[in-house]
Amino acid sequence: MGVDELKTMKNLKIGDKARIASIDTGVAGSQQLMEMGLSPGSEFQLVARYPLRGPFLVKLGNNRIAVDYNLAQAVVIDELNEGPDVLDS
Amino acid sequence: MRAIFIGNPNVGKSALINQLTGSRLLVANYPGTSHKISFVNKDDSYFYDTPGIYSLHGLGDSAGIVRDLLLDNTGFRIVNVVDAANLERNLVLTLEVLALGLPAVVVLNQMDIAANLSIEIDVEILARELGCPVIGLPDGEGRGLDRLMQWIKQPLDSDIGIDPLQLEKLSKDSASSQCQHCAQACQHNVITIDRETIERARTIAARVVRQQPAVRRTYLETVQGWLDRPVIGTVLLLALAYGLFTVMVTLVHYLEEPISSAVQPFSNILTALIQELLPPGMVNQVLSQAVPEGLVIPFTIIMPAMIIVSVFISLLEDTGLLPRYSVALERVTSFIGVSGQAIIPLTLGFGCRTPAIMATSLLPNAAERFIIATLLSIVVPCAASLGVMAAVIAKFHAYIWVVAATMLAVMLLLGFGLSRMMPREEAFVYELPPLRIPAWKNTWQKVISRTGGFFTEVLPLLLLMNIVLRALMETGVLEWFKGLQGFSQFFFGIPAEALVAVLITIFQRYLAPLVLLNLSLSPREATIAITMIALSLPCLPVMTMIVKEMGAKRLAFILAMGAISSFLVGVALNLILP
Repeated sequence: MGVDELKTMKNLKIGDKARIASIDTGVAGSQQLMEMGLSPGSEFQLVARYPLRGPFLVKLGNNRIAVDYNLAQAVVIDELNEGPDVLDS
Repeated sequence: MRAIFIGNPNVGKSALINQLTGSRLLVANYPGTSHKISFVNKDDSYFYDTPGIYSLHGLGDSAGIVRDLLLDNTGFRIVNVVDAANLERNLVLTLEVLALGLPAVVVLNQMDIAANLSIEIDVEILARELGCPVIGLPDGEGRGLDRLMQWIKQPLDSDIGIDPLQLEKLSKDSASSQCQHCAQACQHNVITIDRETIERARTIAARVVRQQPAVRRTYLETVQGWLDRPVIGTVLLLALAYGLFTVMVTLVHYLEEPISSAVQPFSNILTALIQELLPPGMVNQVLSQAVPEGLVIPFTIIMPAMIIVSVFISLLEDTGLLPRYSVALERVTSFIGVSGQAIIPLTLGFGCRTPAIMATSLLPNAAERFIIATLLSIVVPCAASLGVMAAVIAKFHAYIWVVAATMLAVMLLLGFGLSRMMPREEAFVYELPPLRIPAWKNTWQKVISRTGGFFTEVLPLLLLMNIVLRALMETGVLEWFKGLQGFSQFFFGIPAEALVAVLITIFQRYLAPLVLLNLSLSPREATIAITMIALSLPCLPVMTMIVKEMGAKRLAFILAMGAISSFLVGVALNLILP
């Protein structure tokens, strides 16, 4: 992945932790996402991604939030800590 | 005194009111269980339960409902219920609520769950930071509940109102969220939660919350870990659903004999009694057959199915398993143009479709609600129908897989077609609750209230319809339908009497298959007839609910779709089946 390319939730591997830089508010559901606490500045961990362009499951604090594929693409992240290959929580 | 309970979804507002007042508000472990304001009155105090929201200034219908409640009333207190395990997120709403300037208390709920996660919260510092009383629950001794009750009962100035600046902000939010009601996501509507509020919530949470790394995982967390894995989790969830269905069918099958022989003597007495008391003749003949039959069949066929299904559904709800299906099956629901949480009303429909229609309110927009209401009305069989269908299928050795596959196919086709008729952007964002051991008392109460419909609705209606039906048979009116024989055989390959049964679904869906029981049908005929009945019109209570929630026009559309799908399925099966 190039440095100048925007990284989104879609680029994360399972177990990775990341901080949200911005969210494309033009995508359906982005308002809801922010209301639930996935807003710029918050940190989350990717718990699972379902096959066939299925939903992403993220852990935010002690919450688990499912986000569909389109929305995951709308979540731009900056800082990223790579997690273990197999998640244990 | 009046107290409005406000909080994030699934933090336990309804459960708290139930604890305080002994009321029986519906409680389940998924976000969006309550979707309207309900209020409970106890000792001159009013407790308002509201749908869970993340922000007072949010866009969804629920936020609008809460705003309207706040705008339309004066002289109340606010109980802000907060999830102790997710303080930071919950505090955003808390800060918004406190800004209103009304008397407010914060209830730090689910402290036990937080403790399990090794989370410690300094309640005193939190109270100081927020500038309002904070009560932690449960505290084991019930003292917290007493304190809360006392606080609610304090006398209050009746004209105390919302801070004028905030009042203006709320009214503006309500005005600008109006266009939410169109199915499209509105671009010009941007979120109004203040960044500053979010930052303050973060700072306060950091100051009062201490979370130790968990020492060991509870077995619930282990189970949850497996269920939240994409492939394995989905397989496990589907296996569980299949297992529950098999257990239901098997139990209903084995219970039929013992129940039937238990009620038989009673039925014989009833027959003898009616024959004895009434003068011989037509009325005697009709009633002496119809009354015992109308009483026995519901007990042997319908009641077991209703009880078993409501136990299963209540357990799925209260454990938090049900919302997990919404993630696992998101790809399927996306095909029919609705977001994942549609799985919840669809599953509830297998119990009873009336509350399931109400539960469609957890869907994000009117178009999705309508699609799911249509599928519930036409395709999803309720527990009562399942019982009767199972009995008919067993009696005639109908092809169960043809019936099931046809229903599934119609559901996918109908959903696909409807969603293309209403193009819109769909989105799926849903919070998964943690798995929980159900509060048995709550689950039990739900089973009771779900099966209560058997005595108030199923039994009387079936009895009545059975009498009407017998009368029609005895008077020979049904013979008249023999004229339809050619038509019925040509299009659907079933005898005219079976077609009459299909037509009876107009009155009551789960009654229709009973007519079939009195006929002699081949497996092929039975399969076609039962599938046509399974895919037809909703029962009367569901129709009423749809008119109430969506209007008569929508109902007319659903009825037309039901009639069309039933007939098309009949024709198609007649062409396909050997």
